[in-house]
Amino acid sequence: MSDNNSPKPYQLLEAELLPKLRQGDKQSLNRLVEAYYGPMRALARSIVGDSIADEVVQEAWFSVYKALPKFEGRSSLKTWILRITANEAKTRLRRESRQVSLEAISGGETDLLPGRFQDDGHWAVPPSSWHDESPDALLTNQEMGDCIEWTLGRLPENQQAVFKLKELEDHSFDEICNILEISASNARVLLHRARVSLYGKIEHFQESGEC
Amino acid sequence: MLKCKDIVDQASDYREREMSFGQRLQYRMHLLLCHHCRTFSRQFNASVAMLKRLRKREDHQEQIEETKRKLENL
Ligand SMILES: [Zn+2]
Repeated sequence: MSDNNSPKPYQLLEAELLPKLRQGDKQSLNRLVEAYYGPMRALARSIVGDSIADEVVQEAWFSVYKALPKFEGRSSLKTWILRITANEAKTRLRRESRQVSLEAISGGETDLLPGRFQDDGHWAVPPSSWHDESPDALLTNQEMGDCIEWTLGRLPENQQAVFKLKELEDHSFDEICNILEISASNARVLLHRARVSLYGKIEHFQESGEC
Repeated sequence: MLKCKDIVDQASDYREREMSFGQRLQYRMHLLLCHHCRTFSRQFNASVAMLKRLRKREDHQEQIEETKRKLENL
């Protein structure tokens, strides 16, 4: 299992801040903003896009502030705050009559790595071998890093949201289901689709040197 | 018998051990016999490991300060 039980840094922070937050301590609230603004923005951005992500995050903070006295601690504070952020983002989309269901597996009908397989399911265009396959070597290529960021920003909203929460923020599937209100099996499918798309882009970049 | 396409479809489940023993065995068997899928599997795993380490180098300090100011005034 990829989820382990040792406390994560944010859990230690929450244990320290929570009692003071309940008493309305602004200093602790400030530290919370410092710690969670980034992850909240990344999540909001994957749902509503870059241009209004900051507005959504600020709205979410007002909601968090108002709801803090009612926080029951059934999930971590971070999970709870990200769920509020996701809801704020979805409300915003609804107000602009854009699609809101994160549950739908968009692109679910299309094949992974389209065009790469024969009808019988064998490779038509097999994977090319890469010059250096180590994650370290892959990471040092700044241009490819930019290319991946660009590609990630163009994946369907729900794939982006799950990918960021799981891979970049290290949340468990349980937490992700709680934050986005989707099923665990959908979350797994969405994560896999995002990974394969990004793998395809890395492969393309390794081969062509272009994004 | 798993096809190459199945190897791609199930790569995350294999990686995260979300499979029964029997399914896992079949998956391994295909990898053993198929050179292309071994290449895919290696590179997919390297990609996932690399992607996990993508960290945003974005700077939100300005918005953070603004948010703090607004919360201060509530
Ligand atoms: Zn194969």
